[in-house]
Amino acid sequence: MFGGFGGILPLRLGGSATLGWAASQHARLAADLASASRTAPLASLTVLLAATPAVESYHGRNGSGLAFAPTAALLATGRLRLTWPNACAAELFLDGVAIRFPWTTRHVVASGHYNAAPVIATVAAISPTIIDINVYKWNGAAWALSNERISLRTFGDWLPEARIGDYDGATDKVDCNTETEPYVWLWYQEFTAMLGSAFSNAQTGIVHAKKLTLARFEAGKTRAVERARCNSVPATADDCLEQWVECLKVPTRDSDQRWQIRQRCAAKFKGAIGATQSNIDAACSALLGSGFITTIHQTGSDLDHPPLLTYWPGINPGPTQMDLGGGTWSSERAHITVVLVKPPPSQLSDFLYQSNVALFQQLDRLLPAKCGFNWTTSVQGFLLDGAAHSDGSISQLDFDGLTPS
Amino acid sequence: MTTPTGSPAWVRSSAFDTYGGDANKSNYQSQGVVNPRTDVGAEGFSRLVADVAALVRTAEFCSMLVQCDDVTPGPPTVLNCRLMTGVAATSYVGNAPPSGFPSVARNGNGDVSVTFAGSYSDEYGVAGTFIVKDPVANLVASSGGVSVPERVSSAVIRVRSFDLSAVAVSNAKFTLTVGSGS
Repeated sequence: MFGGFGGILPLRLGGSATLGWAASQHARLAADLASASRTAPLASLTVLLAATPAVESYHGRNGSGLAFAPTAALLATGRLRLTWPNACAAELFLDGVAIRFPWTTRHVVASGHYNAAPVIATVAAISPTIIDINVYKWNGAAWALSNERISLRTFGDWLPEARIGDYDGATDKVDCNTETEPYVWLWYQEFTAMLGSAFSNAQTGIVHAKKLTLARFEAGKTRAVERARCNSVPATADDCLEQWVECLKVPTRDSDQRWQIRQRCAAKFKGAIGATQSNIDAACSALLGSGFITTIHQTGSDLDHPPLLTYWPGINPGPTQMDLGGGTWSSERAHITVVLVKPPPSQLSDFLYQSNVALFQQLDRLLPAKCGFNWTTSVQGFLLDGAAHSDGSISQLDFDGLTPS
Repeated sequence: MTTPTGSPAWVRSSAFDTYGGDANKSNYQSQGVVNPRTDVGAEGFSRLVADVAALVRTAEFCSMLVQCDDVTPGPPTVLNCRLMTGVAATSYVGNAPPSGFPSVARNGNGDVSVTFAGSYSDEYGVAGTFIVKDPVANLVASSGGVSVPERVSSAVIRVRSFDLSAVAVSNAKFTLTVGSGS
């Protein structure tokens, strides 16, 4: 909610269209802003080559105006070198001091400006902070190096690549259902009612100031109580997230965002309830998000007609390669197949980490100690412990595929 | 009716504080977020406003694809035009642009002038001065050549297209991207 009594950070998502900001709207903003920041230019500038080259116009992510522009030097006639500092101050602050991030140019597009004859600008060399540009002008017979005016746009890296978590986005963000009215306002109304009609109700003056002060004090306490309650479970923990990571032994990487770690903790915490079918489904879904398709459980009580791949020595002997000694014992009823979808290539590393590390540890904690795990792939996606058929069965081919060679 | 702070994006004057950022932005009583599933804290908000300001400073005001008509000859056709203020749904003839879009006039073979307005308004009705900056043009052709912009005035860009012998290209097609700012 914005403004007035309750418009203080942290913002509580939700509320009306006029006074609030819905979680879904915030999510769209976070996703779009992260997308746009990946492709937007790093800088846009115009330079006039001369004995002392002049940057005529500069607009960069680091700032607008010549104070933020690179240093321009003429290497020779028609050869320009632009040099940025190794690091530029961002509008992000630590203790009130701007943080500096490395400036890295990756590629450039350039145009020469017409000057009685066509002008071409070509990029001769690019390094993270230095760009060399050659400028040619048609002299009537050939393209010759010449000092002319050029415009260019650079692309590259500066701040760490934006992700939704940088804007407090998360895939499980929801509207707040506790502070649907600002706590401050509710306490303020409470004090107004307590004081009665002998005191002014005007929102000015000393009575208002005292009520507001007390209301904010009480609201702070109310939020503190809610914060403590949220931290008591990993799904909504922030202050205590590191403790949950330690307690649950959840794997983390430097590149993980807090919401990913929080969701991983929440998924693992569900294991404390027990390995029920619904709990396994919920835990896998919470861990893998949109990458999770389904789990396949083998069920049925017809012992005269057991599912495929049910083997026991003497009666229904199985393949020798599955024999650990004393014959092959196997039942599909003891298998769980987790079906995942492969995401776009750009998210593949996260997905593989989730599948190979986080999911394995999750299932290891959830399922009995005798269970083992393995995975295989198919054209449909990423499968754990056997391929999914339309009837949910597991084929012999997949067991062969899973046999270590 | 809400009036946004600062100027529209194409003025390129916005900084993080235009969007509510502050060097010392913090959560109330310096506490963390109450519930990370429902809240946006000071850190997330600060990164958000800093990124928006950075993007707005470098985003192009206009990106367009133009097809010259040097056979008829006639006014060029703007095959695609995207402005910060809107995207043309269809192509248009350069001398009859939809309201709010730049006109394009033929000067000669492969030679056109693109004329913008001196001011545009955003979706809140806030007007911002438009000044052409940093034009970049590229010839679209199967053979070699170049499209060369020339900033004629604060609202007009002239683009000429040539082959590798500096001869004007007839029926040239080119892209033009234009920055803005003060």
